Amino acid sequence: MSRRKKIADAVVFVFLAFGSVIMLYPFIWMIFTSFKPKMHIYLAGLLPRTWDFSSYIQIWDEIPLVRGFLNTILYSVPPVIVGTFVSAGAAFAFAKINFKGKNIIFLILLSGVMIPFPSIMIPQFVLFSRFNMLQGPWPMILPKLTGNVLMIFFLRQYLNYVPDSVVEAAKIDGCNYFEIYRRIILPLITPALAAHSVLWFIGSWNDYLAPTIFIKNEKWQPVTVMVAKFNEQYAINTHVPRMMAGSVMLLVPVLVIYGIFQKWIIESVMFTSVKE
Amino acid sequence: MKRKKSYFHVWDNIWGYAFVLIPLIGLVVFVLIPLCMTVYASFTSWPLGQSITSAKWVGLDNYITMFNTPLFWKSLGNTFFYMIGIPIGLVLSLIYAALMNRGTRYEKVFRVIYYTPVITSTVAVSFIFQRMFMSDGGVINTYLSAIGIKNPPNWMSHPAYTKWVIIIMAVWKGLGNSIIMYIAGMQGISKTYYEAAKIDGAGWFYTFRKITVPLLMPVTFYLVVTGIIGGAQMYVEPRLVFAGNGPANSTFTTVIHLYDNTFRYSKAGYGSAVATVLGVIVFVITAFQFYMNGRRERNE
Repeated sequence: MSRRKKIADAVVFVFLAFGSVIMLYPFIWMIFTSFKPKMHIYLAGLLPRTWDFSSYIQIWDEIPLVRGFLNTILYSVPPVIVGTFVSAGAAFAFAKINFKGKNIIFLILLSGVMIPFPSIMIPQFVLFSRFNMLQGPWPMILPKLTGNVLMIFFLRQYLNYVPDSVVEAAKIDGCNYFEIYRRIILPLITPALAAHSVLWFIGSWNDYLAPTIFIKNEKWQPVTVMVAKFNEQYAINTHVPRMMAGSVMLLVPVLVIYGIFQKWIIESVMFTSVKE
Repeated sequence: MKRKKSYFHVWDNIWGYAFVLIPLIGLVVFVLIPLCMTVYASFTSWPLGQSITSAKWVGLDNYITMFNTPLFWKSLGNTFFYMIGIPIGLVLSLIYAALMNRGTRYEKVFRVIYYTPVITSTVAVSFIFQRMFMSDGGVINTYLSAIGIKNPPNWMSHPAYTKWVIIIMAVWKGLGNSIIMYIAGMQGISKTYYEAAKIDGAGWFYTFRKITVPLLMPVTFYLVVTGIIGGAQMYVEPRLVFAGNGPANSTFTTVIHLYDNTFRYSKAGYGSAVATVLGVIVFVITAFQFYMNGRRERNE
């Protein structure tokens, strides 16, 4: 029996390891290809025969990457932080405060999730254009400041596991709801909050469709749009190393953040799935 | 005493509304008002760039045009074709989750590896897949020839294969997420079920089919709903992998149709009609899934 189990374990391990290669191969191929000279892309072999850094020099010369990264950070850090606290507040209210019509309000909010972005992007474009925002950064910032409905949903679930007596006790001690939120609820839900905001952050870092529509001034383009343009241009004359250098520039920051937060991220995804 | 209670009640209401006010404003301004505008605009001949209020009312014209446009049907067919990836992804991730959840060594390392594609940028990944699937020097066909496949498919240029590039990419990118969800679901299943099955002499596969899979239904349900919502909005992958609509419009999707008509040809009225139909499809499918799930739960 034990021997049979050992063999089974070995087979499973090999199977999972093979899958891991498939999962990581595109990234490895991307990194090595980005260091190849253009003429070498049809040669066999994963590793470059000569290491050529010119694609990176080219991309840094050609597009304002620093500006692009700063724009992306501006679109994904402050709005997500503000939006996270707004969402946490709403989740707290839905879970722990008895106010009139809260179930209906919650259902209305939730129904918003079922409406796909492409169905509302044309009027959003018109609204932003009406307020002269298409030349600036605001279309990528404003909607996030009002919170994230999915996050409200998940945090509300999380808060259902916090006993009501905690809130009641604080009320008797004379705390108002904002103090309860700030002093008791926020510290309690910090792990969930951090994990969800990291996921949201990654989502908005990778956003592409919305900025192609809403950002009409090249200065304000996020790095995804800049790199996509760069790559499309070099796809025409099949300068593959330059395209891959572009992809590397996009992926490295996200991979670093993932490397730091991977434990949180995966645990949070698992957690939300169990508590549904 | 009674008065004091109602005093608290008032403050409960005020604080409650205060906390939910901002998300509610967000919903109204960024979702509900635009939604109404989309539906209204779909009945007008509104050219983008003009004020929507001055647009001419044309009744059902846009819808009639749309239903008579072969490209629209093509885009809808492609969009649904891509959803083949959903069951493929579910089966694969269920297998991988089961294998990872049996106390395998390095299980946590595997989880991190399989989840990596999920967090990466679709833009970056699209260009990688575009090049890996090239018939001319692409790695995929090099490997296929190496394992003895004589004529590997022309992934990028033959309409029968182009959609599969997108599907393979979407499955590869989404697999980690469903694996993690399934593992979490499996860890939530009480051990007593398995012990009882063991006493009854049930085999591994029988237990998996009769206990694990049914008890994971809520996870499967969630993944199907999010898969459909995401799949219906497919835009970036076909646009960037195929630098356009693909050979014979084979990778063209409904959102590309909507985008091009609105933002390239300025036919915002027609675009709004496509946007309305897309919204209705997503809404109906999701609502139907929720209904079925609710009915199943009541039956249990």
